[in-house]
Amino acid sequence: MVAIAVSSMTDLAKRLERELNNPASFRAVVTRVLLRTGVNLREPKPAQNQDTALVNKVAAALAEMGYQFHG
Amino acid sequence: MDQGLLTREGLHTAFSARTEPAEAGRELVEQLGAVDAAAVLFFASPAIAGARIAATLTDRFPGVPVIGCTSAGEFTERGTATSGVSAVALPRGIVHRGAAALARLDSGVEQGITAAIMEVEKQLQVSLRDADPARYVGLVLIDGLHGSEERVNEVLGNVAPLLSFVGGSAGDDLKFVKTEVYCGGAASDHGAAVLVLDLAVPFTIVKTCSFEPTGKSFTITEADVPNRIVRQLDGRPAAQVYAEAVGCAVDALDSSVFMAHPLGLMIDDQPWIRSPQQVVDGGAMKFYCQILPGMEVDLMRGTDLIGDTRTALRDAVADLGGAASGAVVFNCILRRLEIDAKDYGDDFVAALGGIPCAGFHTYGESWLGHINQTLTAVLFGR
Repeated sequence: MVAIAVSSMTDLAKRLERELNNPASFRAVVTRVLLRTGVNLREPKPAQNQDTALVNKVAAALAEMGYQFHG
Repeated sequence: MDQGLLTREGLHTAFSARTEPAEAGRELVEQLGAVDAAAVLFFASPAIAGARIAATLTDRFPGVPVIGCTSAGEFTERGTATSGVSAVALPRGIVHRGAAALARLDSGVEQGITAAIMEVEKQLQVSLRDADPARYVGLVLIDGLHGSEERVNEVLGNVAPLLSFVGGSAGDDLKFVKTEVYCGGAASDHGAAVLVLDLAVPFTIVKTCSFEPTGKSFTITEADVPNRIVRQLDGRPAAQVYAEAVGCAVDALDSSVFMAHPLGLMIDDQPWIRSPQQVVDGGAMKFYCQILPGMEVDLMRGTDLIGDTRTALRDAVADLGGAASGAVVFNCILRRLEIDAKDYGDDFVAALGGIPCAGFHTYGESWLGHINQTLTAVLFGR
């Protein structure tokens, strides 16, 4: 499990978008995340947005790809 | 040939219907002709000794990466068939250079893919993680019978998350006994051939399927993910829920129903297809790729396979400014079965629009992940 300070999918998405700073790259990584977790970072469902376990799962998927967000 | 789609010299493609490997190899070499190739791919019926085809092409193109695999049917822009072999040579005017490696997966997917990527990076002297995704593209051929495709795509994504790896799973003409992938003189029935191209032209990825949502959707509530089994949809036995949605009894669920009504994971209004394979364990459903608990999926219905394919390729050519030099294409075996059932073989070839291409009918398609009932392709511009 990755130790993170991000509190929501929206926050995670913003950090990823800032990190990549490229719409095509952001789209590619978000698609990879969705295929691995079922979460669409661009349009997270309300029930997913602040689900801590799910946020951690998505953060872990991103960490596997080399994108670490520790807050 | 559709002159609207092709404006200048393209990829060199070849097809042989011969099953004797020396004769097939000779025909391929003749048809590929005089070409300064940067990479070569081939797709061979399991009736042909693929390793000998690889050897022939490697001899003809010394120092050039050659990858291939067994197939469930092969095609070029001139025709589609089974029990033959198709091939494509990528000229240096289109590809500056290529590098390939065989990932052996017996000791683990992560270990095998990571080692292969390191070998490719060594050959190219480039970190794929840092490589420009608008200049480099990967092709991956994965053995089709070990169920490793999801993990292969994940590890490729971990190593190089911004790079596209497009490909398909090797077939064996629906025998489901043994599939093989080849890289130069090496072969594996549990591996993946990885080819990375440093391109001299722009490119685009094609991903097309012929389905639309029915408006009925489900949430996966219980699944055996590694075995690609979904046990429950919306908290009830998966087969029962699925059968009710398509309007038939559970014991009437068969391959024709499954082919007509796969499930789609919707991403930006586009379905990433998950195809049911069979009812198992008295009410669960086995799929041709993994679906995770919590995922919401839509029940799909078919549209126009030929028309959708034609449109997708035309749109992709337009994205490249209206000119394509060729493509490498991966078409799902389930799409081939629909093509066969409807006698659409010639129409499918026509839908390729005369774009110089070679491809095969696959046991699964790859791009960013593992998908079913889809056509994926890399389309090269000028």
